[in-house]
Amino acid sequence: MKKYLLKCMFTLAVILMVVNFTSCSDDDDDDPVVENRDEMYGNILKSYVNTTVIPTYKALADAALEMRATNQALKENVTDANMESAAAAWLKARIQWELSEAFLFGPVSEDYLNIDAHIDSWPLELEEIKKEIGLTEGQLTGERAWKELEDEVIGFHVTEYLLYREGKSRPVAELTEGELNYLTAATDALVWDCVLAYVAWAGEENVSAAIKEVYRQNADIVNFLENENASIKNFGSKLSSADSYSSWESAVEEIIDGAIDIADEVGATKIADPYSNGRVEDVESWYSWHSLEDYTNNIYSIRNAYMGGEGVTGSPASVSLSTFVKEYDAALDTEIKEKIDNCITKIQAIGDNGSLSFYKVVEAKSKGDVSREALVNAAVDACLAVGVSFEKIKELLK
Amino acid sequence: MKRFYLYIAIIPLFFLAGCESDDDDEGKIPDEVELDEEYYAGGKMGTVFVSSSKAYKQAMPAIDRDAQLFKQFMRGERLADRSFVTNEGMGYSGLGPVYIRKSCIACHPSYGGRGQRVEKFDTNDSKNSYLLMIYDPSNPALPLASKYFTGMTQTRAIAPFKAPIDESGVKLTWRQYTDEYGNKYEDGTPYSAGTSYEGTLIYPVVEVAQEAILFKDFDMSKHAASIEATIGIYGTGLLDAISDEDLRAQYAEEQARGYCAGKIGADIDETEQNPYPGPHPGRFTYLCTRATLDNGPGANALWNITNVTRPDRTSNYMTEEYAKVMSEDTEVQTALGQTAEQIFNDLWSKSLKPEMTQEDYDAFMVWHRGLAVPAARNLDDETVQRGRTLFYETGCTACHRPSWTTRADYKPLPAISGQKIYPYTDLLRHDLDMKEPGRTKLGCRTTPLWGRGLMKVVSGHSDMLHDLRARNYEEAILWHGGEAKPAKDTFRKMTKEDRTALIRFLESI
Repeated sequence: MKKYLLKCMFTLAVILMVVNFTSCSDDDDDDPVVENRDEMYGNILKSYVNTTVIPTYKALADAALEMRATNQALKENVTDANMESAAAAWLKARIQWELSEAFLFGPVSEDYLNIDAHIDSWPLELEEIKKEIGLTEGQLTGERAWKELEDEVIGFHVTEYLLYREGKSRPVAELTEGELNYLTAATDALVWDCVLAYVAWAGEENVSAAIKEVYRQNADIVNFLENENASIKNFGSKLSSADSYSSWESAVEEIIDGAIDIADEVGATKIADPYSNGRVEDVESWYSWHSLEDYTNNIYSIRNAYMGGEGVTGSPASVSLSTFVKEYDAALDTEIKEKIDNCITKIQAIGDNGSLSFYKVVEAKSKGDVSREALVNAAVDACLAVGVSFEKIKELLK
Repeated sequence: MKRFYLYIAIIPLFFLAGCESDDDDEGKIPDEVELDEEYYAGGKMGTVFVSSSKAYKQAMPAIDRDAQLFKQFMRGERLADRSFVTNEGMGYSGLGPVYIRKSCIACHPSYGGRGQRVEKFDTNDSKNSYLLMIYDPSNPALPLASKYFTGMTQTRAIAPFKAPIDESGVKLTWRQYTDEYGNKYEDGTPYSAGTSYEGTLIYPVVEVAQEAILFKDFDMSKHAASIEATIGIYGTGLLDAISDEDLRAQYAEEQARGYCAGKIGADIDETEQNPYPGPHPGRFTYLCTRATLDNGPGANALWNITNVTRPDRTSNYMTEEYAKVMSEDTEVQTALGQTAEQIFNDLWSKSLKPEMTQEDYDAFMVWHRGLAVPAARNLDDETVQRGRTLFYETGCTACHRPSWTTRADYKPLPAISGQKIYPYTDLLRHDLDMKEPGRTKLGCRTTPLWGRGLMKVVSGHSDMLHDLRARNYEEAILWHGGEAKPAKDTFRKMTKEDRTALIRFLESI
């Protein structure tokens, strides 16, 4: 984030002093080079929106709909195989959500549609969940879950709680009828939130008829966006034109700050904090034990924000923040890519590339086992280093 | 925009040259050198050059340069972000038994973005950052209706306990207001021209139904209700670092000048709660009821909003009357399987087990104190410069004092000592003579203006003033009556270009 900013400013001071005294006119608004820069920033933002953000939210909405379908199958046929399918669908959607965390601003933020809190709150209010599950009358519906229930009893972690235990799909025999109903309702609410994020970024006119139908299924969702949050509609095109930002640079800063924010959060908050304090309750994805994959996907999200493209294996876009950085400071572009790759490697190394969950690592630490401390520290440092490198991009936005 | 970084670039050179004048700013238009300094709204150690939607969430350079402080800052941020829950063993436990909100972020979106003006008082609405106040209209300064309600009224409870007020009985109405000028500028232009609410002003009226009140012998008809929106958190560490002596000097000067004589917060002795012994004048909250950050609105809110106890707050935030009424409620007795005496003793205990560790609380305070102020923007723009001149000439600086220098030895965070900061507040209360002001009829603390220009980017709106009645900067200025009426009248008489320029300046700081 912020680290080394002042140092950068001093460095910049020396470099730009010359520029300031030799070429700074009273009004450089007509400077063709500057105009090209604005156009370039616009292109970077468009590419970011169209090749990374919107496709990621589309994939999230599609994955959430798969959750809904697998739940329906489970409801119709309560088998372990269907339970496993439902758990697998949860995981697929979860991956897409984590791939979106480098852009937790705009529609999903607490200032607008509050989708982040609505679908990713932790910890859970378990007593409330159990009470609702135990209702014999007026059982939960998706509409009521979305409209009335509070953040701590809906979202990914509630559905995870119902589908998983200790890193595995729960035996279907454990699943009560009330739980199955709650799962279905909470998933419906999740679907609407994911669709809402997608529609808010892309614009209703730009989504498929199938997505539009889901969006229109719930009048509360439509009212929420159309009437209560009209200013956030088509946010992708607003960001692409730097609408309401004080400058083009400020709009491009969203990409940078979004990346720095999640890099710092993964390093300092998601990994270092629970590990150093031995707090298992602070480990994300407590029931599926998918935390390290979550964190890795957060870094892939940063990679996509920087290079364009989507998913874990997506191809970079032809125009991106990376292509801009490469043009003005090729060494920095290389540095950032290396830092991202290194970060992913280091996070995966904490759990021996998938064989050990972060929950277990933290649990062991809480019992005095510090054998993984060096690996954890290396991952934390690698995350923070990503943020420091991203901060340097701001020097190029002049 | 394009020259912004050029200006940033030369700012450190001025600092290196030791340009740190700290004169009284009122009425004087600072020269070019000071203009450059003004980009550092929070001083060198308290400013970040971030103008995206994350602008209010950043750590000060004073935090970033220290690994331990940075670690605590990030932990503190998590405590502010998370909802507290009732069940144990999930982390973040201890919510209730009676409470106002579950988290800090519920009322402080983006930590400084502020909630929005809403049509309904619903604490489950993430946009609603209002606190409900019930008070004696003949004396709003007093601890509200203190026998029954806590200072910030609680509308939520964990079953079987019941909320002192049922939210469904709170009615919020926005009424139209027409000022003495027919809501028009001197040149005939309606206020907020071009918006859907052109030519209108609105203010809130809050009514609480008698049936919504838990206490049977409380007569709502003899009381009043109002709403107060939360204030941004960023930069509060820097305001805390202003010395009492400087604050008292500002007060003395305002008493002597014969106009806009601000009221200073009452002295509060917080010897045990901060490193400076003796009484301190209140400077935080709308009514300046809190003196220092260590016993300030945030330090208290972490406890009294959620009722999560900690080593220095081992009782519940509730009135004795509430504890008594709940303990005597047979439904509560049945649900808990306890006697009235047992329930009362638990609720009213002064030695409850801490639910938050001291380590976590300390981290929270590092975060609270360490949230940076975003740098000013576009100050070199010609229109902004014109607006700045108008801001000084119009008399806005009489209360919106541009700069202060923090004390030389701020012990809680030494790195932010001696910083020249630009908060645009005198930290004193003034009477703006608003329609239905609620408790601020006693005078409202001059709102710091730093960083507010980024609200559109951070929060997508620019609702302002203590109850968010102003929907934009224009309206915020136009609600300035009372002591500030001459300044409002001058603004009303300005040309459209000058009005625009003044607002551009406000958007830039």
